[in-house]
Amino acid sequence: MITTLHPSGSSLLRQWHGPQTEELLRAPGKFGLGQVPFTKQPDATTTMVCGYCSTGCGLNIHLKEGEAINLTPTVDYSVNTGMACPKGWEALSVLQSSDRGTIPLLRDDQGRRVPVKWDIAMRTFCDSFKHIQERHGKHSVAFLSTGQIPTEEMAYLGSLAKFGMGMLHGDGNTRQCMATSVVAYKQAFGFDAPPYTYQDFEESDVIVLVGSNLCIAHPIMWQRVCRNPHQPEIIVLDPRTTETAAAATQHLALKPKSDLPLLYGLAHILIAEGWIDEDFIDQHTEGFDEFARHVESYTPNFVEEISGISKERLHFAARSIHKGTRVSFWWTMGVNQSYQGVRTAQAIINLALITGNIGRPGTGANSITGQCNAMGSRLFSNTTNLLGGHDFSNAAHRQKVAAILDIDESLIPTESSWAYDRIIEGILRDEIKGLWVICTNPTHSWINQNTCREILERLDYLVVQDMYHSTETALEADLYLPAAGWGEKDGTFINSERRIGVIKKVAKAPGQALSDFSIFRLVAHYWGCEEMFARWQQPEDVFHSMKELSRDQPCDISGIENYRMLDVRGGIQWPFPEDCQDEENERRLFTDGKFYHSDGRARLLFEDPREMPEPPNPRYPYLLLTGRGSASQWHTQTRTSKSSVLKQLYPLSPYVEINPQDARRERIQPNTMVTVTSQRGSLQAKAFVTPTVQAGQVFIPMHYKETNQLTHAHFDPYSRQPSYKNCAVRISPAHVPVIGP
Amino acid sequence: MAVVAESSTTGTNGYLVQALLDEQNRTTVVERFSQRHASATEPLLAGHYQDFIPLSKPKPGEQYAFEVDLDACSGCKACVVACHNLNGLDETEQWRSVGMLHGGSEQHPVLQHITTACHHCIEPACLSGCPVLAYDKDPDTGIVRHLDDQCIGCQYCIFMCPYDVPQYNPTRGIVRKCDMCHDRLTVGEAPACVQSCPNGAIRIRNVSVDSVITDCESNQFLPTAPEPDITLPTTIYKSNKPLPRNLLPADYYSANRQHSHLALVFMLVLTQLSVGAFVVGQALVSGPWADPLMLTTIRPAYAIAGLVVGLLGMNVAVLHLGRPLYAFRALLGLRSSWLSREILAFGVFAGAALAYAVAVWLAVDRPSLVPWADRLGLATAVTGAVGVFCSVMIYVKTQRQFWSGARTGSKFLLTCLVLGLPIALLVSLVASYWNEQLTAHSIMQIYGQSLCKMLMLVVALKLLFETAILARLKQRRFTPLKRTALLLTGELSMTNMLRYFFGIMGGLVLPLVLLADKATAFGENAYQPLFMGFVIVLITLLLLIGELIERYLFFAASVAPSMPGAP
Repeated sequence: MITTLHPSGSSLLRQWHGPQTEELLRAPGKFGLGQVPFTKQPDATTTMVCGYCSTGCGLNIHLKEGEAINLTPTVDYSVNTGMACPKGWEALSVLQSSDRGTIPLLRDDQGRRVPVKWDIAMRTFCDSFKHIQERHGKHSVAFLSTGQIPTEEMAYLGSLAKFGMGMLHGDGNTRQCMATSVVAYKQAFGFDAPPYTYQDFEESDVIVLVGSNLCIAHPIMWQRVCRNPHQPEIIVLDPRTTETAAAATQHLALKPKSDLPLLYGLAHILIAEGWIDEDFIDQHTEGFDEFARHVESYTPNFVEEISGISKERLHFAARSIHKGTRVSFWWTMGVNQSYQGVRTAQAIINLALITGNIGRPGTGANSITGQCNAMGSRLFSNTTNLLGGHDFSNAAHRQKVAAILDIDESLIPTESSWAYDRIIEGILRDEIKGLWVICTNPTHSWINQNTCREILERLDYLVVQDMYHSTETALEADLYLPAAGWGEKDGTFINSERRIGVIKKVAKAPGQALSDFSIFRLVAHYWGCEEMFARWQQPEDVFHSMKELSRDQPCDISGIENYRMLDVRGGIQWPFPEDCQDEENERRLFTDGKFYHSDGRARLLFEDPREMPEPPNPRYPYLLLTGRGSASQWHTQTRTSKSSVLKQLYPLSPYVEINPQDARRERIQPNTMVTVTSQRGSLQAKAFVTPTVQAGQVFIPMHYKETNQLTHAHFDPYSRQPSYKNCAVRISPAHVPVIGP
Repeated sequence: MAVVAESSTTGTNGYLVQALLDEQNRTTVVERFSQRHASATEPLLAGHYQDFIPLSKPKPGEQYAFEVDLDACSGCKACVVACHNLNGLDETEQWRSVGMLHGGSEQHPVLQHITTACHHCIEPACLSGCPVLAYDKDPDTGIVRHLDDQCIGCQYCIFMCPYDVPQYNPTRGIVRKCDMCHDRLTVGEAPACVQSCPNGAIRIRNVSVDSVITDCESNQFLPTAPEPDITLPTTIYKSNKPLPRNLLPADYYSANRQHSHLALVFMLVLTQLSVGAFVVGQALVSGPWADPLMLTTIRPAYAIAGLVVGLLGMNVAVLHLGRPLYAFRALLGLRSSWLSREILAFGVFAGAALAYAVAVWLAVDRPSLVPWADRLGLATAVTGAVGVFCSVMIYVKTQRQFWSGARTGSKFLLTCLVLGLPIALLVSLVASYWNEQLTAHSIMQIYGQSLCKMLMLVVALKLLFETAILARLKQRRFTPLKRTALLLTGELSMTNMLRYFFGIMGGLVLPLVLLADKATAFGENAYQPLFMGFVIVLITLLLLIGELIERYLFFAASVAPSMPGAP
């Protein structure tokens, strides 16, 4: 009798409805959203770009009385068409955390962090740095910035630090993710210009992914691959059987860092078989004959020996590239974070150039960037490049920038900043005594972390400006400045495909946290140079300066009217010069075969591979690979670890992937603790025994704070990007019983 | 320091800081940007997912089911978070999860992510186990819905589901689970997970119930997942790539300690103590060895002691409920739920025990009532035994190997004896205080020694049974029982050791002391009541603690079956 009660009926005995049920009711969300939780019905929506990776997804923020209450991926945004990865879905929740900084914290004589007013914080900031500059020279204070803040803030910071405060050296954590691509493009194309648009993922018939686990690192780009209707051949070069490799049609599980010779080997076959585009080479490239001579010795036999990839498979891959009519080449950190990354990236660029796979839909030599605004930092951070992709050493450029900003030209340094590693070394050599760290966490992320920590301790003054007071680096700071985060401020990001998108203030910052922009304004004011930046009251004011700075550069955006135009058009890719009539939402570069070198030709650049600096050896017989652990983790996890939803999606403590053969040899049982030791440090991680990592190699995700205690500080000589993915380690059972999660 | 003080801007410092702080707290996004979708009525995403949901409602003999394209699932886990956010779940709640299978050979390693939520089974075990009918399988769509307001938070559905689907929400005191976004489907929208999968790996399909049954019978569900023939899960996992036979879940080698359900621990042990006391007591007073003295003296004490402990046990059980106020609903599920049956059986047991206690006390002065008391005593023992049987069945029904009929049955039965025997002695000793004819010595003489010997035998037997699980450590495969053994010797080893300590001290060493005492003594006063009482109280206490720990391990070391997990 009870079971026959109609669902609409409800009694105390069988209660179909009530307060608990109402908690989970869904209601029509309006605004084209479909149903949303009853308790979170918006009264307006607005779209902004996600603040994690360089994919640059549009997120539709659900607003109630002007503030964010929920979000869904934006459907009519060309990048992600209604999809997002877990980080994007959880972008708002990480703003609510007890670790958020709400007031400046100043370290007192006893080493305690004491809350102070902004006035005191700013005075101390200026006093300390000015004092250091008086004693050790203007250049003894430097900054380390990020790829995570809007371009406008980067431009303000770079201008303030260099033109206003007299610093010479500043670099970004973008050095750790894409410096290699910058240099590779600059040298090959004449400008740092990723040529593609995401539509190319859908239009290729052959997709070559080098050192890129798209499924996990850029899930929404993988979505575009999945939407490719041409049943593309997907060739993945990766030592590990990653998700992407598993989904590929050809997985070349090459030996680590044998990518450069393997790519030369592919070029060798393409040239030997005549599978090249001679017309394109003749008209648009420079250096083909030398390149052809260079790769002559990279015979399939030779490459097989070095890379472990059989000559048959290599030939098959080359044939696939030849047979493809629209071949696109993509790379990420597997290439960038390498001691020979620039030449490897250029070896990929060369393949695209000699087969004529560039400037057409579904083609390109395409670097997939890491951080949400790494591309903004490349053009406007005023570190390696002068604002707007200009050159510090070029007098005409300095003149142009000085005129646009209406500042004294002599304030502009005539040389580039030191790279990140040189700044760290500068601290060691007592050349840098004061450091201002903005929105990055070197104590966790810098290669050979233990040394980095010791080096930072040598500073006279360390200021850390971050959303969270609890980052490993913030805890070391003499002064901590609480920053508003993504979602609490305005600005623009530039994504991997050169698309400029808007971020908006949709949430209030906790306590007295201020946007980085406002903090820079405060610093300018207290430093006494605010006159110089009087025109920059709002982020959008900086954007207008950026437009002027970009004029006549390959990255010309002078045609973009304002933020509203970016918002209405769903982001705009550079270039977009003033007279741009192109209404296309997806545009690619080099459609006319003209590159940015003065002769319009692309350069084919190459070099013999280098020896791995620390190959496995009898004492440390395994090669440690590091990389992204899951789509739910972001870098040093200052943000992603604050989401209780994301935290359930990955192992909370470090694990190490070990091949079953190696596990047997070292008597390591699955799921037991393992000690992993390099020359520099040691960590304990849980063994995940799996054939997806090759024998002789182990893999540890980079997100765990212990990982970079092991890595060996060595760099690409051209880009100064750290080579995180190869150092020698040994592994042994830790004799610590672990059973459980 | 001086630098700032001399600055011309000093006077404006406070003003600027305040202005910037004020500005930071103003949100003007609505005014400043376009309201493109202000008037949109239809979901903008509909074009994307319309092919992923059925055009029509299920026909008779059909129901909705999730379909997962394994080849398309790349493990991004967007579905998990979208489900969470689009359904307004509480902070740590997740209705969908993504696990992983891995294996293959050195040449062809295989990595396969598995997204999973409720399988909306044809024969949902959650539904059949629920004592309050808080589950409903929609006759039209087949969606297994949880009625949140009906739930009393007993969490038995969590034990029952082989896929670990229902999730207990401690702040609300209820269980909640995936409802396939039934109201979205009703209006032609796709469930949150379907909407959010970047690769279109999750769809809703109409499946024929018969085909699901056929597939489940031939175990075509998913490699390494729990056997589908228990509940007939409807989710379809499809792949064009053959999955290698050596695939293992990523969490294959981990053994996760489970929730210990302390209230249940006490409830089970106390009710079994009570039933044991009654059964042993009944045997004492009704066997050929019984004498009238015992009947009149011991029985009343017995009846009261058994009743009090039994009621205590049953009331403790209520503490286990997330929403004890609604406990009155717990008999609704009698037709299918062993939990309802257990509650009924123990209810009757309590009633019988009460009646028995009254009858026994009254019978002291009215001999005519003695046969009634006898019958009630028997009825109490029998209903108690039925209650314990229902307790056993609750766990047997979950089909967990550690909770098999033999394991659970022997444990619960032996607990009745392990605790019933010393209680019998203790109660006798207490009763003798009021009766001049009975002495500690005579009790020991008549049946005490036999009880002690029996106790030693029973405890030894029980400890042996419990230890047998450790043989599983030798298994090469990581079966659920091996995981249990690993937990008992690993994470739970200290607790397990304590269990043996209390069992051996209380059940073997002290009874031996009691027996040995007689061997060294002479005369009438060989058994000193005080000493004997002390030892028996100690025995009872130690054994009680030992049994409580055993029952704690019964829950904590029971490995729940589940879908393939993540590393």
